[in-house]
Amino acid sequence: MSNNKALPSAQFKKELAEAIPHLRAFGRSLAGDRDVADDLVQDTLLKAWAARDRFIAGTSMRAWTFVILRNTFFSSMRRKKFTGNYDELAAERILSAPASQQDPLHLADLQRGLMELSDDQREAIILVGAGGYSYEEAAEIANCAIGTMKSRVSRARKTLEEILDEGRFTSASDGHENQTATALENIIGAVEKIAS
Amino acid sequence: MKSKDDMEQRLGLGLKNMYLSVLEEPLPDDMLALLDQLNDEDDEDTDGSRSDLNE
Repeated sequence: MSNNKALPSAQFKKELAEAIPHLRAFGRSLAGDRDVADDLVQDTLLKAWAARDRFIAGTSMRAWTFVILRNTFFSSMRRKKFTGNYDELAAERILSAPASQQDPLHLADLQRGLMELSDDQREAIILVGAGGYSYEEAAEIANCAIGTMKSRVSRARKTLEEILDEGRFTSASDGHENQTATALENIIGAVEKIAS
Repeated sequence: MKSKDDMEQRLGLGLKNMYLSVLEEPLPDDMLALLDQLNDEDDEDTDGSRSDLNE
């Protein structure tokens, strides 16, 4: 277990710094919130540094720190019953799409859709669909079998497509109680709230 | 008219763009400051740092 060669601190720190943008992207997709994600990244950096003697030189720093981040996130969820939310600041932004596409996905819709998925499925679709990890790498990060990862990704895609296609979001993605409403009902509800 | 393929394509593209848009953001100052501090802070084990590697 300890024949592995550790990285010199300076090199470890350099590789850690290079992983930060990916940690932020993974964390934000997982938590659905910029500030929560950045706190998660900071925790991850501290934990990675404290455990740097356990990092094996030549292996992927990004994958190693992703494991720390996702474990931190899931244990924090268990402790605090964390409910994710979508990034309000990004709600106005529209994801860029090729000019030929008339109807690009709104980032806010996609983030809300992600929050509708189970934690396992959300993690799977982020790693494979957004982060570009192979099923094998993603399975290693999530500590599950490759077949399980494939099935999570497939179910996540199907569910997300349905949600986005039909515009159906439950209030789970707002961190409120669990009831189903169409996008139109949500808008009407918001207008009524403002009017009252 | 949205075909299944079209939706799949939009979803794939949307997920990638969502991820890439964060990669392109400048790092927050407090994160850079934290990184700088790592030089001097030696092995003060942070809360739960070991168990999060093995869960």
